[in-house]
Amino acid sequence: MTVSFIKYSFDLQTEINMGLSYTAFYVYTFFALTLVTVALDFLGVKKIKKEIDDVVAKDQAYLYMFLFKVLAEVALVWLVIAFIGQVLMGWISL
Amino acid sequence: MAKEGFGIKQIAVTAVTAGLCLPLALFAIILVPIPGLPAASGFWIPAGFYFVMTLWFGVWGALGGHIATTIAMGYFFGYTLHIWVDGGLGDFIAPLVALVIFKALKANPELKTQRDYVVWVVSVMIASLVCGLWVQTVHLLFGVITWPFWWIGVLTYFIGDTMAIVTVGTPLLKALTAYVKQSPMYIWK
Repeated sequence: MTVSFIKYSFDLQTEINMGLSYTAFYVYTFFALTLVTVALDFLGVKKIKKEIDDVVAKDQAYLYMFLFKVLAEVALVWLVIAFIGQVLMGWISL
Repeated sequence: MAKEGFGIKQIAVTAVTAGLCLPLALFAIILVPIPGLPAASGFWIPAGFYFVMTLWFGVWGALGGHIATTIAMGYFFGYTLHIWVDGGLGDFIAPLVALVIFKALKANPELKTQRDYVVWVVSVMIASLVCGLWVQTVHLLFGVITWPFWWIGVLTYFIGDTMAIVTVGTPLLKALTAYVKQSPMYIWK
């Protein structure tokens, strides 16, 4: 059962990736979803700017949560760009 | 510099700044190393974060940057104590230099006018130069680097730090200062 499952996984992998390694496929999927999440959050925040101001006025803790979240998102985007940059430069491979 | 003294908020700001800057410092050293200069990077991305945090929250942001870069250079890369302390102090001094210039020239971190932008860029350039001069001169005096590398080091810090800080810090200041100024820890009230 286990052997056939592994074989199935590898067949599937070859079929889906078309030359892209499973690791690369997984990492790039993760990156893509991360970037989409950050972009949607950015757009969402613009839509509810007034509500955010209201919550911040009532609860200062939210201000710090919001601030730290945005800073972490910027850091994430940078790390994704830096990783892809390293791959493109040929410094690392997947 | 914070008006609120010392408490959980100050610890949180320092800890978050350190936590964010630590991986960025590590990868900055790995990604853009400068051969011959220990723990140097040609694009010092964490500075973009701790400069902004320092402009908002004063010494607590600078302290976070200092802790991050000290740990990055020391614990993870295994450089000697001298290099941790020297580099870490340079990264503590630099954002405070920018803050002092910003304060002295009464610029607004929200970057509302052209003058604010000019003060921001000039303060970053001066702070990066001071950082480079400090770190490389101490390295030179302790025999860690030789004289020709002093110039390369100062220039690298000046250009690499300035580029990273302006690239990352400018949009952060522009987008987030409006929120941050509602914090009692914001030092420009």
